Amino acid sequence: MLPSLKEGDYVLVLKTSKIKQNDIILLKNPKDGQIIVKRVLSISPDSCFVVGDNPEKSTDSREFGWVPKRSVVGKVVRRIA
Amino acid sequence: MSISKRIITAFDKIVGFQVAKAHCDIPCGIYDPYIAQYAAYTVLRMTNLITGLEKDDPEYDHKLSRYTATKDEFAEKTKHEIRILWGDYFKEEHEKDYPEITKLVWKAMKLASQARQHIDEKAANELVETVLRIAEIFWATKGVSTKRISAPYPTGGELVIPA
Repeated sequence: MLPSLKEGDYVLVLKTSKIKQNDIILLKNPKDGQIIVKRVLSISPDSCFVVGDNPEKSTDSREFGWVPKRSVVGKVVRRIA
Repeated sequence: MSISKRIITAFDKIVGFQVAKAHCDIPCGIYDPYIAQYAAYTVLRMTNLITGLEKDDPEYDHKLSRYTATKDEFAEKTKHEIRILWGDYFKEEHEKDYPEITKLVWKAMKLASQARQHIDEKAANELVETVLRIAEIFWATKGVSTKRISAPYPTGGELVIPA
């Protein structure tokens, strides 16, 4: 998620499903269930399309597709670098 | 390290905060038209910023230099991404199904050069639209339907993503 987030940063997350385009969110990777942090590019009623801010090195919806909203853990509200 | 980071790090050692990952674990994004799209939008944005500069801006020369350098960089990046798609991904059978792809690739390359060489908003806008169309064909060759969404950029416009 460079340049927005770098390794070792802490993020404060609000647990919510109310997300909008451009929000940075925590979600469960639909492939392996790991918690990942990505940016919301598009939202539909039941799912969202996420992309990393460093798209050349990001595994995101371009690969694993639209993510159901129930996989969204929350929205990043603060970064502590 | 900031004080807040020190405090949080100390808590982390005690509590053990959850870790969120952001990088790819496997080779990824080998062929993907997303980067070409945002690169083309960067060319458009820089062109808009250049045309919007005020001559009496005390930082005019500085801003013009930076915007032009970025426009140049991302026009070449757009061409680089299109070259990869064209040379490494698209095949003869794709051209049979989508005969317009060859002309679209040539058009994108030439428009990127035009936008690079001049302050040309028309060329930059056409570059974006051409790249969007290439993106649609790319996904169509994979049997993936697409949709156009509002691009979250100051330029406005649309992005092509899998539906």
